[in-house]
Amino acid sequence: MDLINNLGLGFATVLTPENLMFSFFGVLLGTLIGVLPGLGPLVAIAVLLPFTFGLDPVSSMIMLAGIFYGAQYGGSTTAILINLPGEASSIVTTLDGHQMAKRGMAGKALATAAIGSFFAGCVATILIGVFAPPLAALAFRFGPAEYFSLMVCGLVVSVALSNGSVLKAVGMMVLGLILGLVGTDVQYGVHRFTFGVSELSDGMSVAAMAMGIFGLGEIIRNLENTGERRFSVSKITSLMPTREDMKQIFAPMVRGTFLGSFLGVLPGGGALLASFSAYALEKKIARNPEEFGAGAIQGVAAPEAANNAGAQTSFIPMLTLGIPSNPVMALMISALIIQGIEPGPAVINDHPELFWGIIASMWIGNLMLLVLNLPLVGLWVKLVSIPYKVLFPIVIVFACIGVFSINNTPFAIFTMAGFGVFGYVLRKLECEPAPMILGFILGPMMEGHMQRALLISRGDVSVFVREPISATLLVVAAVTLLITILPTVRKTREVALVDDE
Amino acid sequence: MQFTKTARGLLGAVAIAAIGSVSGLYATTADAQDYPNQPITIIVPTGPGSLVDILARLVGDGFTETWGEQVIVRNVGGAGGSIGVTSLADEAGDGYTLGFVPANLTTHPYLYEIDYDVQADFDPIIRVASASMVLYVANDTGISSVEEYIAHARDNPGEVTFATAGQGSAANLAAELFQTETGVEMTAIPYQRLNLGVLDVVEGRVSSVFVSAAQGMQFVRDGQLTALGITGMTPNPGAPELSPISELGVPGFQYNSWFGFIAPAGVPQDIIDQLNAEVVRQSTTDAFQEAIATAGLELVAGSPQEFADVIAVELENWAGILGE
Repeated sequence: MDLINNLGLGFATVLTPENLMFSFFGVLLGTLIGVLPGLGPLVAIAVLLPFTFGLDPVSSMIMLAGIFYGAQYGGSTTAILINLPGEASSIVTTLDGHQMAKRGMAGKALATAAIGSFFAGCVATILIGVFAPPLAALAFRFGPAEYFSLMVCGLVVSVALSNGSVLKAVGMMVLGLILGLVGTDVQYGVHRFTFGVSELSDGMSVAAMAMGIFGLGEIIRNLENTGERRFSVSKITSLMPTREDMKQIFAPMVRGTFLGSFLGVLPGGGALLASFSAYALEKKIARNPEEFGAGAIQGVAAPEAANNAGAQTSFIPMLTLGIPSNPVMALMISALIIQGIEPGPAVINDHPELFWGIIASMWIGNLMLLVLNLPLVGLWVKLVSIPYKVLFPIVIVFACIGVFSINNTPFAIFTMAGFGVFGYVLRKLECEPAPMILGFILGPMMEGHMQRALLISRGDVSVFVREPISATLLVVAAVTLLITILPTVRKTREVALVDDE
Repeated sequence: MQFTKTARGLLGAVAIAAIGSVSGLYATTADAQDYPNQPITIIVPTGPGSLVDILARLVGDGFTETWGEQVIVRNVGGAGGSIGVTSLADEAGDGYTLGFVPANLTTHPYLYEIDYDVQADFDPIIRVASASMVLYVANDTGISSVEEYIAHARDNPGEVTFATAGQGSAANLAAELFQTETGVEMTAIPYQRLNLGVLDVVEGRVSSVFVSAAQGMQFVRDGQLTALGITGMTPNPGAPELSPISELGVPGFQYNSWFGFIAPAGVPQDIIDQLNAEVVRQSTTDAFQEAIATAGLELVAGSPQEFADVIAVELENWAGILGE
């Protein structure tokens, strides 16, 4: 059994005092930022990125991964207890979770969320172990044409999966592609849209951009509500769910896990979409749909399982293809490159201890989270009562240190500030920034692959449809695009994605 | 104790962030008598974790050990290193700000819009190490010698491809030089980072690549790639079995990348000599030689004049190949 041997290697890598400490630190920090509204895993990872330069690659990835899935746990705690989702992917948890808490079942809701997340984490760990190696083997057959078509497909899917208007999503994606043009052309060294600013000659920093849009933008919006926030914290009663409850949540948990795992792999998918879709699915097939929104335990179990599963499986395309499916994974890629490791199909063979170590650390991290979360609920809730006027300056200072120290250039701070304002405008216009960031990240990669495909084929464009894998991917992209803009589908899509907010 | 090293890395990163901003406040006094008496900054024009960065930190740690002064490594990457060299040019020539630069320094005038003069604005201190590259070809090209490679490229102009890390990268410069010397015409396939390009040569999608022994010899030993020769005149420690390309049908062909210390112009000669002597001393230690060998580099550690001569010769060479 290769899988068992490989996981054995992974556990051997993780079970050193040092790596356990980094895993613990990661999940603890993840939970913390998951609890605090307006501070997502992206901001935390971007801030910590420069501090990982001195670590060895396995430790740094274990810690960063822990932050990512730890945030999925943390977000649900405040969603349930005070109706405040600390993390976007916990928004649906407020619907039934907080209702349960109001009905005196806060402990049960918290336990359900934690158990659902843990179950999903375990299953997703195995799914990655089973599916990533064959995918990596397939990826070795990917040349420039295949990569280009895969990315076209990915961008189309990310638009199809995005929330709200298709037109806005396409616009945001194209804006991202255009922003990705800024910098130096790799082949001829021509500066594009740099306006004589030497710091722009390597393009804009994705960390600064993401931190501006997701971090500062969110802070500016929060500052709009100047009134003191008052929360009524629900009392925590008995934690353990009964056998009856377990029976009730098992099926939704399994469905949520698999749906979340699937959506996590897709570009633009990930935890947020996973939790919304899982909730919609449960509501549709439930025998008691009227209970949803009034404290249905399935409405907590399924989305919590789904968001954690989605967060973990989004590592698959990053580790096997070197393609990020969301902005967090893009930062993970930069963390690996700084360590001198090129994410892609070669990682499994060249750095097995890294690959299997990350996977094993997910299981251990989930176990830590289960233990960490329930007893510390009181502490997390107290954190939320930190006044915002104390919290946001701290966040801004750390964000500045973070983006500055990645390249030691003050220009990154200006970039972040500019995108902070832009992020606020996007929120006001209800434009989702995710497709833009994805376009920005994939744009230069796509351009490079297209350039190489055409140089190798000596300018013959038909190379994209001649190669069978590439042709298939383009057909998938075309069909997805067609389906998305079909009027009937568009209606259902809007209903499916918006209805539960 | 691995953990200690890690903790130091974390602390170091915090210290760099904090001190980097404070160091500008120091009154800069260039007094050769008690040099150094304040922290030294080394500007590295690449990102952290690169070979250049690792070597700079290695020598920097040695400075700290010898002189007891803190050494701050500042990574200023981007635009082929020209952003970092620009920021070095803006510093005072007092010996407290040094630059550790790779060989493509001498191509900056021809590839980037820069405000500095590579010879007039900097004082060379020491060329620390150099490395030749290896010419690899894909197995399915069936090519097994430099002569076959040239013949194939000559018979099929533009058909033979080589992977590069973009214009101005060592891989591209070596291939440009090769084309100039042999008069063949090949097609460059640019990659953002060259290790993906090497993989494409292994898979046969690209015909060839000039890259370090460290990045390709493991594939050759696995039988997945063919190595034809090295770009230097002397044996490459990472691929001792290979002969120089100059002896395999391209007489006079030579391309070496190197790494060395430079300082903003105006550093007193005795400080330059002191720095040079310190690096030479470090280069004799076992730890240093091991680090150089692991990276597949050859130790140079020559005089400031040796470094100045190399820079002058290369500037002239590239003017002919890259200049207008």
